[in-house]
Amino acid sequence: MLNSSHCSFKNMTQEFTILVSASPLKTQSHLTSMRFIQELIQQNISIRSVFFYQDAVLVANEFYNPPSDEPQIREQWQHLSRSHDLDLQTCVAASFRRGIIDEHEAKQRGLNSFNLHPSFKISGLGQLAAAMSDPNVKLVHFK
Amino acid sequence: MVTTNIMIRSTSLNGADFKEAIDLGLVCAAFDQQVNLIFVDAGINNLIANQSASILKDKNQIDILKGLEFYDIDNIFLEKESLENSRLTMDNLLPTIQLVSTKELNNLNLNADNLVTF
Repeated sequence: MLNSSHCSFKNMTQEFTILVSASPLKTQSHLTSMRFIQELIQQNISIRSVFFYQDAVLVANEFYNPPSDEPQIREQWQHLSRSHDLDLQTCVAASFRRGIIDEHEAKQRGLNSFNLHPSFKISGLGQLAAAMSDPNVKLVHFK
Repeated sequence: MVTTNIMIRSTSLNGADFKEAIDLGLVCAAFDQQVNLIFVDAGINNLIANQSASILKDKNQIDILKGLEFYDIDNIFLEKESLENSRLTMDNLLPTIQLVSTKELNNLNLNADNLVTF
């Protein structure tokens, strides 16, 4: 647990990029990463983006609807994104590989529907690599 | 130059882990990063030279590793302890691998700017 009275990220770096790669169904990484982000926000530290890779992209499926008595992970991401203007990016290749398609791609492929939740944006690995190339950006990976 | 370590712990048969690790490595290399591929634990299985994925009509992943030098990924490391804990020898593996001890591996990670594990 991060405690702001004991843990300070100030002066360590200017910005953070958060990489989440675990399935929302298999680990607590999504919940843990959101707590980490909230702590950064509390300390007024800038977050460049949150990048979802591998099975983590499953959270961006609009049809992902866990039972009401379980954590509503996507709703929590949505709330965090809206409250703090956070960019939630899902990897294009990882998403398409797992059947998560945005409206543009659905039209390109002649599909009848798409299922990317509007809180998320399809993005390329290049966006993540660009952040990783920036010496002022610290990458934190939640697996 | 920014250094990115990509650590692969899972076998080639564990979903898309290997493919997605290599994809990230290639994109990072295209951004002029020094990319180190580090294989530990069950990840050693990705390095077996004679793979016959064609029996399953699958893609032979070892071919991807053989071609990485053309994309400026020259460093493929294997943890010595992971080799010792397996039933494999260096004769079974891709010849371009560099063996490193756990201590050397820790130093590699300490000196890297980014570490992503698969």
